Amino acid sequence: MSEKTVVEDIDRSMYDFRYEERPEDVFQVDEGLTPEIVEEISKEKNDPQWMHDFRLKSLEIYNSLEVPEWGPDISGLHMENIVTYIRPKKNKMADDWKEVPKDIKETFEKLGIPKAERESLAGVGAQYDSELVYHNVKDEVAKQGVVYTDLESALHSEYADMIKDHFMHLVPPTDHKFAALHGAVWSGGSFVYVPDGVHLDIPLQSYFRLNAKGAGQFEHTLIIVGKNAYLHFIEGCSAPKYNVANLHAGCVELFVGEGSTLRYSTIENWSKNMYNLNTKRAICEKNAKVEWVSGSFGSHISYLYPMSILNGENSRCEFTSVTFAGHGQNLDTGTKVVHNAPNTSSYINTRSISKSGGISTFRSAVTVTSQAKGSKASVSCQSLMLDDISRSDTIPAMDIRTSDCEIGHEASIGSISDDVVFYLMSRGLSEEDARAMIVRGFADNVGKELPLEYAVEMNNLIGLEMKGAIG
Amino acid sequence: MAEFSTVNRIPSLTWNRLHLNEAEGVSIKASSFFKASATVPSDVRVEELSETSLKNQKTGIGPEIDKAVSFAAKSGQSITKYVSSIAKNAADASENILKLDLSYSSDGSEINAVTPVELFVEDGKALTAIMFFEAAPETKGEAVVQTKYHVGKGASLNLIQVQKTSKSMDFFNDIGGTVEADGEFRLSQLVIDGGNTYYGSTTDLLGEKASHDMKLSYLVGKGSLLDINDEINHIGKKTLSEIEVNGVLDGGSKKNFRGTIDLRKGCKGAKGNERESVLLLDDDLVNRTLPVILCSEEEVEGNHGASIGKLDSEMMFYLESRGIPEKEIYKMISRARIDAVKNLIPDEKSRERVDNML
Repeated sequence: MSEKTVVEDIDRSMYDFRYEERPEDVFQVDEGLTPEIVEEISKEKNDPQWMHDFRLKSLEIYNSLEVPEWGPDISGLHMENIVTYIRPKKNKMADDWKEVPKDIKETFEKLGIPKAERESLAGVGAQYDSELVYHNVKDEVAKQGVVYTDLESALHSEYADMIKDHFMHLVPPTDHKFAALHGAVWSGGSFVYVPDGVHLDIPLQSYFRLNAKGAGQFEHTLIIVGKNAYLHFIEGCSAPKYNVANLHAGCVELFVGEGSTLRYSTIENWSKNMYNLNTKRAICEKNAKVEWVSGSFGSHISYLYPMSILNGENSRCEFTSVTFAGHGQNLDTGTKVVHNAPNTSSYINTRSISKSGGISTFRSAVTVTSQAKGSKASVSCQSLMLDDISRSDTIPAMDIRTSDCEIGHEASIGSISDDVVFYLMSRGLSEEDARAMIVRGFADNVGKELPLEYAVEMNNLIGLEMKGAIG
Repeated sequence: MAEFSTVNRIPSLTWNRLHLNEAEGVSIKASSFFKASATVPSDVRVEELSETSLKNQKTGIGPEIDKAVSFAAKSGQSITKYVSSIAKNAADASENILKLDLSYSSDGSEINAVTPVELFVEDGKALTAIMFFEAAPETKGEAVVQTKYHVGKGASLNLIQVQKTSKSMDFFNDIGGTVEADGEFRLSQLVIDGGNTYYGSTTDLLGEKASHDMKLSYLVGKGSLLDINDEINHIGKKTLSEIEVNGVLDGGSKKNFRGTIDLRKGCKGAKGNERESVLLLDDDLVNRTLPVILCSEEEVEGNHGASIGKLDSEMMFYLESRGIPEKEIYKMISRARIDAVKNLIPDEKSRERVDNML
């Protein structure tokens, strides 16, 4: 009788600890989504008038749009039960770690954020529920003119006009229902400005922690990179698991100036009760490049498709991702690229792993407009099925409007090849080790693109333990 | 006159703004039967049916075609079913080929033609069927051809379809059928310009080692649309499928290709491959491609690849260095794509007819 190899679920115990908030310690709006709640958030945030009006307009749009019918089922998400804004009462954003409230500080200590800041980051932002609790940027980075701050502060600073000119211009609230939701109730998130010619050798990082039960997190990340500059921005997300739905509907807007490169890395490990309906979009000017590196491990349901708009001649994008869908997860991930200028190029390289009844879907769209002459696109997506109770789909679309282009696409779905296992075993590995090595190697497209510390974390996160024997 | 509007809806939906979930802005108004002119081999039995014998068989364009057929059937005409008991080694002999000819013409008024056909191949037997769909240049209106089929155990169906309709016509070519264990279904198709063509095919590979091999070559000219929806359902163990689509799009044309390989639970050992190559001759065209693999089984393989754009620069250089002008090279490559499928036709007269169409 044969016994199947079992691949363990990701060990999430380090992310599932939490501190129980006492009602008297937190400020929160009522559950649900009404104009009154949006007004209350706007007042709490001390919004300028245009932002106040923007929020209410977004709410109108939200109410007029339908839930998408093409993706995973999100009927378990009830907006009337979601708290859209919650923050500790004592909250005041600190730039000194010692000033962060003790329980929150301990949460981030456990997640290793301060240690990472000391060792490998140029700046850190830490968001706890709806608000940033800590933001700091190293002096030498600030001296180069780099701005890394929370978006609310920036809205009332010398950068207010810059934010008004960019905020939700790439992702308008009309884009889809959850972009409209974001426009109405956004809070927290970061604003980054890298001036012309500045090359940041070490990354900036934001870490988002959603601690409250039945809450939503709607942070907005706005990054503007000037000409001939370089930035690597890392985003991490986690939450403890509850038995009720939590919602993440963040928004990331990246403006990459002429000749610049922006690398945006994400390790997403939301808990498995999370509806992750996030929107990320970048626009590249002439000779600019955006590099997305994405690891999706958590969430109950994900809709996540970072989009690159190649709007300047010779602009480029790379998208590298791995998605790991386990028990109870339906992760619909992928990317969108629009080639909208001559000689643009894109390279998409994704891996999906499905196990224990998990569903992973790779969904993409490559659009080449009629003015994108001389453009090239290459899409490669590979999926691995680790058992026969899971599901893996690939749904890649291409829309090409010019003859002067070269578009290549390849995709495959399969299981672990017995021949490869046999080869590794003939080199002395046990079958378990051979299979574990193949799975780790399969996800290595992302691992090798991350800084070492994060690649190690990702490997820990995968936590793949192979046990049992196979017959 | 009844109208039916859901055409070529893909089983796995995606973003609506890609306009690929189904053919948009289409309605089927075809309402009267149009009989094919048939050359029937002696070992093929002909049955006239008042309603389809494959009621629950899904087809590629979708259930709207069934409705159009039912609507047209009210006029009292019948659905023609061909049942083959031809031995496998004799199927390609000229006298054993079933030939169905649909030649459309109109005298200025619009045609609204519906042609339902059923092809049955008995266990261990074979059938080669060649269907020509051709229209006089002035023909206006709509034509629907629905081909439902059943390939028995160890049987083989080789279906060849050649199409050249008029620029003022909408043509709906709808196919759906099942293949039993060790059965083979080969589908070779040529679409030579014409008006708007909506083509959909669904194949259920039911039995162990059932196979499907589909080759489509097309030329789409200015102002025309080709809208394709291919679905292969791997249900039996060790089932095999190949989809190969090669085409050439001229300026001002549109093409949508949806190809789905569905590796369903239980189809252990199944393999599905899908390849598309599109040569784009000019600008001002729309080429949309959606090659889908759905998988809920572990021990399977699914692959798809697509190559879209102009000719490979190295090939161009090689051919130009042989003194062939660029225009001639594209002409030659276009012709080669058509010939690759034409050469699969086992009947010389039919091949000559294709040459004449070109």
